Amino acid sequence: MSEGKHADLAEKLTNDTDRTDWHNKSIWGVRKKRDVAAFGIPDWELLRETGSNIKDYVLDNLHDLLIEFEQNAIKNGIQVHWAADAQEHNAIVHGILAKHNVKKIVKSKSMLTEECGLNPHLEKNGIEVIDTDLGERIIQLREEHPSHIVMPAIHLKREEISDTFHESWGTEKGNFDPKYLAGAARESLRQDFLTADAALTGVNFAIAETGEYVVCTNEGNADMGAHLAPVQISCMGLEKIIPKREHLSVMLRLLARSSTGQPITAYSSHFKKPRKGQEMHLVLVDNGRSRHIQLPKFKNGLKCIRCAACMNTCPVYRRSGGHSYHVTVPGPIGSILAPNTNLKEYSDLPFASTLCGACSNVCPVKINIHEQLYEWRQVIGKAGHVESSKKIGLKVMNFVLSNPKVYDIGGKIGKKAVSLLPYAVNNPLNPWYKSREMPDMDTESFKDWYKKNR
Amino acid sequence: MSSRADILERLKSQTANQEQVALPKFDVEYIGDPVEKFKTTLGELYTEVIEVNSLTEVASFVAEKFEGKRIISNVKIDGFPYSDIWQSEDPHSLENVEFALFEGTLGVAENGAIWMADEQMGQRVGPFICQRLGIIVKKESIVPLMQQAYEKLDSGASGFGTFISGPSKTADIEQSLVVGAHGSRELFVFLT
Repeated sequence: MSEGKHADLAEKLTNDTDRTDWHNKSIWGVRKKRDVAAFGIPDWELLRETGSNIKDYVLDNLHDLLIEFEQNAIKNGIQVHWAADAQEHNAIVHGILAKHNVKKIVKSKSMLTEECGLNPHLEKNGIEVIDTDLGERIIQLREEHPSHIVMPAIHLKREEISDTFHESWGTEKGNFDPKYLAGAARESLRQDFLTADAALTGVNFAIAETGEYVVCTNEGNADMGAHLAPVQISCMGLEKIIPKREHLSVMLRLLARSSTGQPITAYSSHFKKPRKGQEMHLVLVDNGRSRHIQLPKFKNGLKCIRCAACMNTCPVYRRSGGHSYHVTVPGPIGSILAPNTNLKEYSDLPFASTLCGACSNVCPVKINIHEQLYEWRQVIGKAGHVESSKKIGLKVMNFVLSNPKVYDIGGKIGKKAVSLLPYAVNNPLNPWYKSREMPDMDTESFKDWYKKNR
Repeated sequence: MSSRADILERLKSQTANQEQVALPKFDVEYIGDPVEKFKTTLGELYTEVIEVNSLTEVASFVAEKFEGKRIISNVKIDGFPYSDIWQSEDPHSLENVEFALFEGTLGVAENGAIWMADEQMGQRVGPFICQRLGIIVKKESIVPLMQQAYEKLDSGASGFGTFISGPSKTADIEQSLVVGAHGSRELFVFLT
């Protein structure tokens, strides 16, 4: 992924104030839709509570549930594979494709395969990989990474997408109409569905009791791929298991409402047995999850159902954009998942938050995201990975706040300086000044005011 | 050791709390009349809901609207051309289907979702590859919430099943909603 830390990478967006506002508003719009959908259900909180309990049970019984799921899936005729890490996952998928001499594979959205770097691995081995979710196809053509887990191309404007389609498919230059552009993608991708030798999907939920799994899309791309290709592969993180089919009645009610504010996605497909003549494979992927589950304070991050509500609500995500997180799953949830995989590399992410707690409030499975962000900061501090500028700042603050005299004098000098020389703070060297005006300074300190007025 | 054994070994020590989660009875009162709610919800999801008195009305609606185009159906209606040859053909050959007609097992009022499984589809790709999709739903099959839907559905028999709630759609370009992504461009629900 891209080089650099969150604050620096965010500048790509924040340097353009109009674009930052546009991004912020557009994502906030999704958050508002989520609110309307959630408040439309009188016992929404009971639903969240139940979803949370189901996922807690899953994490406490993952060993048994995985075995139960595997047995039932095999009975159903699905071939089950286990991958310890990204490398093994990629090798398994490539092995299946090589056995069938697959030249072209169509994929529906899977953040897991993005996490594992599957596309470059297959392409290196001469296989043509076509992402079929419209957002993913757009960024694939542009050789970018997704900036959001539900809306991968949310960072792009229609003009940019129009240019990309013009260059790739020869669509009319300057035609920015989303209907026209989506229509062109439908035509192009339909040919891919019809000529693919294999299809790959992600997994939203896998049911231990029945050995089936559920894939949700609005576009119908997972189904178009899976029901046409002779070989179907689905890849899932270990934590996607739920115990019983009836639990879907809770998870499916929560997922789309939290995600986009829809009551349910257009398609919620339950894959149980291969169709006649088809081969069906499922890859169970660990890639750090069985290590993560052993960290008591961070374990329940694995309850995540990838709805992206925490991103949509996060004031930092909305203004910094997904790419600034330099990891597959951005935003608050990504910032508590990533440090488990590489503490040093992702040491900046738990600091990319105001700890306002909005993320925990919207999470459909009640993950205490903001508390975990705080906890990771402690771990990162102890490991010595806090940025030196932050460390110095905190030391200065500690000195000032624990010495009342220094605080008083500092305050007075500061007020004087700002009133005489406003430019001393109202300049681009002051990070707070970026896209903000400094407030007017009172001439009197609170302490002085209190002495007079108490 | 194999990766499977390794992974399971690491997870084994984490096992705790064996109490299964029993689902509470969720509020169904707010749904009101399930049939009415089902109709309004689907309407909001860009679906044309048509109340019919008999399947003959469905047949004449389809015949008129899609005359001369390729139609497939897995529903037997008097006076409506029926053939099941397509069900055993290569699924790719359904690419030129303009309209496909199926019968849903049940409908869900809260979200307009309609359940269909292998038996109703004939070919799994049928409801997805057609340009326009029609589903017949019996009013008495409509339940208020997903909870009642899963209580009614038989999990044993089918190899594949899906909830469909509207035509395919995407909002991946600047969040502008476009109806007709990869699946059907239109959904007609015939309520009987």
